[in-house]
Amino acid sequence: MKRQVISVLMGVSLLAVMVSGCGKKGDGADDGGSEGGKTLKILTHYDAAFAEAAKKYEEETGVKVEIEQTAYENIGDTLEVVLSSQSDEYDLIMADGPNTSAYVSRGYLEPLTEYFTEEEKESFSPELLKQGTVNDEFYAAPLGDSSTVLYYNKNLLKQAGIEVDWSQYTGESRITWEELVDLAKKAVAELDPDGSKGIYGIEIGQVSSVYQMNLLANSMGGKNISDDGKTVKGVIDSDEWKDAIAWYQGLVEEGVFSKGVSGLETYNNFYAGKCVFEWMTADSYTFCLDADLTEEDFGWTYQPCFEGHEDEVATGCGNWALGVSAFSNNKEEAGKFVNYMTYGEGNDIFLPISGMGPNTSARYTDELTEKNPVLEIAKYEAENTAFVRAVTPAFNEYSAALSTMWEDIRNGADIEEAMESTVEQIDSALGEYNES
Amino acid sequence: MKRFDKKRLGKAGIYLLLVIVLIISLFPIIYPLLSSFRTDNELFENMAPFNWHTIVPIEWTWENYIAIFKEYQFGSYLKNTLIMIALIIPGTIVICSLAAFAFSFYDFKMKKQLFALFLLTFMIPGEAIALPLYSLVNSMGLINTYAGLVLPALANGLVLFLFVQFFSDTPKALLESVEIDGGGWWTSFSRIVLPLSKPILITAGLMVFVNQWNDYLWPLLAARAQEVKVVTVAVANFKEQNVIHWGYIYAASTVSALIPIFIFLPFQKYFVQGITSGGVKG
Repeated sequence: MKRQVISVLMGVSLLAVMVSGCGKKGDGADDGGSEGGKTLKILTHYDAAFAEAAKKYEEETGVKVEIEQTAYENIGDTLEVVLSSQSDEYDLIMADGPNTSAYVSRGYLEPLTEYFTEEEKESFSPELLKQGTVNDEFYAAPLGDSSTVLYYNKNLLKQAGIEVDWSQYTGESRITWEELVDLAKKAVAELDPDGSKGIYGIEIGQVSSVYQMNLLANSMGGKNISDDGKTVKGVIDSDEWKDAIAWYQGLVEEGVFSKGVSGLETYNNFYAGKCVFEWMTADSYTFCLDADLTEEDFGWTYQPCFEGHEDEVATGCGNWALGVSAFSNNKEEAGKFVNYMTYGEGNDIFLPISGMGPNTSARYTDELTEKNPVLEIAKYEAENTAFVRAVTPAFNEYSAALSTMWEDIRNGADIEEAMESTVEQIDSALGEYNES
Repeated sequence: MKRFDKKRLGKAGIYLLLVIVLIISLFPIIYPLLSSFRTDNELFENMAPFNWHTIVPIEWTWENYIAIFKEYQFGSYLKNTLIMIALIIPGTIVICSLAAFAFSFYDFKMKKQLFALFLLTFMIPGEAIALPLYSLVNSMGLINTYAGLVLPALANGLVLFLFVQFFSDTPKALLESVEIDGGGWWTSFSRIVLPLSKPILITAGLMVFVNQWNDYLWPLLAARAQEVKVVTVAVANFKEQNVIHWGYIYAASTVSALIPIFIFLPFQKYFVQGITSGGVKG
């Protein structure tokens, strides 16, 4: 009897598998689906912001947008699998700015030219437009922008007896990295002389990533890739890069910058009062508030410049962009939605919820800057100092090799050797794209 | 007396060593467990210098547990995972035990080659076949369904291997006596072989459970919709672009570790028995 019951249970379970397989066709994103209109589908980690904008869009047009949420770190890998198998699962593609070129070279994105007028395209910040344009064709419209800003812990500076008149610094006259390092050394000597409290002088939000680390070399006049985009030889092994790398490695060895702390942990260190200065993105203001800090606890100023390179300040820029999948069955509706989300009303709904900086100066509203006052600096930087990351279809390989190099440098690797090996790796990847 | 002291000293030394090894082994479990009861700020504030409060919270809080269940609907991901596993375990056992029965008691053309082919399946990493598998499941319209999660997991080479090893110990005379009494293969399988295979059934069930509970890549590709998303994929949501919610990760990891532990412990002796009888031959 008992055995019969087990057999029946097994049979029922198998049947359930079959039934659940047949009963649900996943999404119905292909065509139709929504009552009286089409349904578009997107995979995103900005699900709340998209949901709000999509709700309004459906009311106005009858086109429904189905939002599938995933973690930030999974978007790239998941889309790679979906798109390389030419699946029509998603109509809208979220691309991290620098990945646009790679997606285009693999045939994943549809040109957006017919969904944007010239005037609309020109309204985007030039650096963002550059990132979304490949071979003179516009493929990915920027949802927003980012920028890099210096934050400081007011409490730690007070405890260390250091007073700085932060109001003296402007976009034209910033604190220098050299001055900042002196302040950091003084503060740490006072707060944690024997190093037992684990307090760092300066932390880098996205440490060892090209988004932030390259800016050190860029701020000394170094470029990210050759002008024709075909090599990094003579570029990332230039004197400007060598100087920037040597400066950084020296300060890691002195303990001013951290070693062994991963990218996002540096943020946690700042929130927990474990570092005096943190160089991170403008939207980090809201994360500081989320971590129960108030403006009594922290302040912010323009990203520092290097002495003698005051006119060459390079700040971070670029953010997620939106494109239309080349395999979508609803390209026209998707293209119109991209316009709505990046140029149209949808972007006004998206920005305050996502925390991103605007994709154009005209969108910096009082509402946004009241919610995040750091955006005032971001606006200045977007107009004056924003430095775009390398535009190349081999960005993934470029980014991986350079991130490894920065981490090796942080761990004390020989500078010449690290550079040589990185140039070799990146040029080999670029070579494959140059040939094809 | 001196000899007695030496003996006691030696014993104490061994116990001390065992305690140290125990602490080292339990640390990866204790640290996340205790950290799940504190805020992220408290966690980082007490990271250095190393002291008692680097591990033990100062202010105990349920905040992380409340947040993952209330704000992130972690309960529904647990439910999805349990449903997936409840479908996979019996399905795998039925398919693999039937296949193993055929391999163990019947002769047919290409038997050895086919068995070798099945064995190969558990030597190929999931990452290597993720792309073609996604294409296939997608073309069947099974993405974001339980069937999409379950079907590719049903034929498991390792479980098949375990069953074949175990069945090969069953005397063929038993099956022959069934035949003499007029019983068919189903009677032999369901009345003789399966009842003798309790340890291997439990072992196979536990192996499948642990593998599926920890599986990440396939659920990430095949089950992204809220209604079928599983725990491993959901935990990744606590790592955002500019923030890692460590407390949430620790709380979710603790909950998702407790369930397998409670299921595993009562069946532990069968698991060991099954592994030794199914795998190692004397």
